[in-house]
Amino acid sequence: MALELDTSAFTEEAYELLSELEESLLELEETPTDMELIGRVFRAMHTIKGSGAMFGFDAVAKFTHEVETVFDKARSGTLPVTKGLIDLTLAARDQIRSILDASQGGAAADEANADRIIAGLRALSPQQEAAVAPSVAKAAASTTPAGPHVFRVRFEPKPEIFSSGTNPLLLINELRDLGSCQVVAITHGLPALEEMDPERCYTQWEIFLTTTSDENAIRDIFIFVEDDCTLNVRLLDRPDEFSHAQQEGKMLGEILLERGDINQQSLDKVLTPLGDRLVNAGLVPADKVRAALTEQRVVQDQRQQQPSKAAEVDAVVRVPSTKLDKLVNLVGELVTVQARLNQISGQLNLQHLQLVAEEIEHLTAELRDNTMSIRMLAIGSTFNKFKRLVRDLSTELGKQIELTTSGADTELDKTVIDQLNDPLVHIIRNSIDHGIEKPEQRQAVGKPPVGQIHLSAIHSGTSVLIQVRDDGKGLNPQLLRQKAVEKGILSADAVLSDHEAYQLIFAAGFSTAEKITNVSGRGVGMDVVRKSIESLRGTIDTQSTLGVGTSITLKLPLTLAIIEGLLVCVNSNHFVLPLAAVEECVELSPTDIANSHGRHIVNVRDEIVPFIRVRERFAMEGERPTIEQIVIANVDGKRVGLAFDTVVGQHQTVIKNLGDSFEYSDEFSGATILGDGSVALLLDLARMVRYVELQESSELGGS
Amino acid sequence: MEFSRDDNGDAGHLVLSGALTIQQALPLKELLLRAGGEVKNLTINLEQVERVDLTALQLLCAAHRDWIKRGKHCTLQGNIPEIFRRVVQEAGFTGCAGDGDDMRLWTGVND
Amino acid sequence: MAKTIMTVDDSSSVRQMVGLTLKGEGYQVVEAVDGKDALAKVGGATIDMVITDLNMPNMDGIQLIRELRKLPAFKFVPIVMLTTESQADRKQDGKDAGATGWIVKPFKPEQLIGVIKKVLG
Repeated sequence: MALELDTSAFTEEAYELLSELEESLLELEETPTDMELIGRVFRAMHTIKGSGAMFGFDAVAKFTHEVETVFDKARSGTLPVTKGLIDLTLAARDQIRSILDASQGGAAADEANADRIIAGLRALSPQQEAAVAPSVAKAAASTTPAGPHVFRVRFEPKPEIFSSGTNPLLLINELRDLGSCQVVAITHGLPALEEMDPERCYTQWEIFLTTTSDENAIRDIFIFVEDDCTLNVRLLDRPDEFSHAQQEGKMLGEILLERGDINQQSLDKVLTPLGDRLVNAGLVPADKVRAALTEQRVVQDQRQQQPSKAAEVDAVVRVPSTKLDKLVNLVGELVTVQARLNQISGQLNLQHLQLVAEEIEHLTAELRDNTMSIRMLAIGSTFNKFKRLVRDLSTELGKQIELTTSGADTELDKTVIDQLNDPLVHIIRNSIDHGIEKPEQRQAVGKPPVGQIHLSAIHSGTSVLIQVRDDGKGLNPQLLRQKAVEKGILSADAVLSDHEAYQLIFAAGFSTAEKITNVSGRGVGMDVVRKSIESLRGTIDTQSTLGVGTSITLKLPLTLAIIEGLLVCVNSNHFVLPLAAVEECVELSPTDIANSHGRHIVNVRDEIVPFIRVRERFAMEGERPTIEQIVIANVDGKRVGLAFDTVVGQHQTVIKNLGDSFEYSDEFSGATILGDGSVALLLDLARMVRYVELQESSELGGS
Repeated sequence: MEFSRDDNGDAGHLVLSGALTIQQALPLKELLLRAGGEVKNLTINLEQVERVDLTALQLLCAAHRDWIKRGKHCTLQGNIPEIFRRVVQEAGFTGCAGDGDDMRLWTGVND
Repeated sequence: MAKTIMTVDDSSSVRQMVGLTLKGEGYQVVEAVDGKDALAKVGGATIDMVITDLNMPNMDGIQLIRELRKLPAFKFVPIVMLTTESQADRKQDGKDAGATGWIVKPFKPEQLIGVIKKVLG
């Protein structure tokens, strides 16, 4: 079948299934006898394998099949769910992931690892159990699949079945009540008309039933005719049936072989087009071929429908995120044009135009909010990934840690979520490694042996606060200061509050660990976190109580594409500051300048606030006005002022990425196009402040 | 249910009607045998069929097979009643065996 | 055209329950109190199906089924027997005599209807 298959449909599904699989496995570890969970684990693998084979991911299908075969034993109750099984299955899950990654252009999967996993799994499962007797009851009990499956029902009534008053067609119709049926009558047993006893039944059937019912339900239908017919019910899309599954499922020849309708020698005599030639060669009756073809088709249909059915349940439409990005870009353009329209209509002062402009403004805002909300994803899926991390790392370090989460349904822009993973991994690793103590140490200080890490997300205005809180040993500000001085990050005479000292953990090259572990102590950890969060226009705050625990709070914007900004001017050049960071605006008069004795500080209601004169910072030409405007912003928990010529006002800012030409300057985090078509640069306040601090660190110390 | 022949004996007309069920299976077989006798061209009319069961389908299938084998030309005359079509479909009689022998004669539709 | 079902049982309450259920489903009902009575009544209307008890005076159900199957008109008519769980071997006897199926007493109307649908359509 030369179908053009879009493999991304499979990979997307597979990645999703892999996260589900991981979740289910972790849950299963808690409740190892939960059959429903076991079923879920099995189904996830089954689907990955089935779709994998269909989409040509043979390596995925082959490996998954091996794992699934072992897990099937758990499903049928012959293999207990142990930690060992879960560990191996988790490892297998990771292996599947790396095979997938490899197919996506990632590094090649480690095949030796795959072999190890499979060997481990096989070692767990009991040796080939005594050949399973074809006991109907047993087979029926263990083949109760969830979700629609395809059964092949071979119904061969005895010729005299009519004399018991039985109408076989009614039984077949009853099968239709269980699901959708493909009925193929096998009529090659019909004698010539002359020899036919018209009161006898010569017809047999192969019925392909796609149903959610189990084998028992099918057999129940035939209960009255148990002795008057031969009934063979077989689940077709069982895992073990697809061990050689290729893109189209089983080949016709395989099906005929497996069904015992033909032997290998006969099959070898003929080649494709198999069906016709089998019939022409007189090897297989035409209706048998037809039944086999029906089987092939029904099974394929069923397998193709499974993913789409799953999607229907949630009534969710899958859209590539690139399409969404495009939409967001277009909305951005629209917002920009709308700003121009507003400006023009304001200048022209035409009532009609203004009415339309207002309406467009209204609609644009709505469109923007709706579009942004499409890109919003619950952070839960990110949270779930950490369960595994915590589990693995704590085991590795001999610690007992429980991860709890709250606010998993808090929504954030997809781009933010995507970039949030690594920083959170670092923070959590750090908590596990440096925060939570070993059970003995915990008990020694009267804490429960199991440490807690709580991961929470909560909305706060246009931001989301994500917090990682542990009940570990807390940060020692004294020690932090000392280390920072030793490492040359801090001058020996610097005066830091405890709160400020906590933030030192994010300084480049700072590590308080006594030894470097492979968990978090790579010495690059936390400053990378800080950089990532800042590139997301977010901030980090650390709170800690010695001996009680530490909490690290990330404050992130809901979206990266459009923000509310404050538009300011130096000369005729515009800049934008994120409005969320702005606290107030004050004027800087020549008197204030005189009072500050050349230092860049301003007195705001008896509070001394340092400021940066943007004109000087960027070496812009021209005279500064007599009265300057200082915008006071909250940068990393500190109030910092920025001096501009004028403050224009609030501005809905569609953020454009800066091209390579701005590579040298990371004090700008983007740009936006203004209503008149000119460009305004978006200031990265945290970076600006840090650069200035570096330059005048002694001057800015203490506030 | 009746079978008639044109005067020249070349063409036969088979009209099936009423209940084609197991109770009538024996007479139906006799009739079909007769219809397949000497004529070269056979028309079959099912318009008046009110009931049909598996035995009739088996007989018709075997008869059809027989006629084809003996080189008879069979054509369907008139409409096929819904009940007939439905039972054929329910029974999964999409075709018999061999070349040119399919149930289209009985259903008027492909597959 | 409404189909006709004969119910054969010496228990009037069972006959009534079965009769009411069948009528409720639009079937014509012919009642008989035992096998002999049933055989006497089958000559009348066309019977499309028979539901018979097994333990009855005069002529029991198994015998009735045998007799009915000898009649050309009943050669292929569905015959369902009413049995109890303790009568497993009787069930087999009934099948051997030519019964189409069985209903285990006590049963609910919907079970009865289910079986009728199964054998009569």
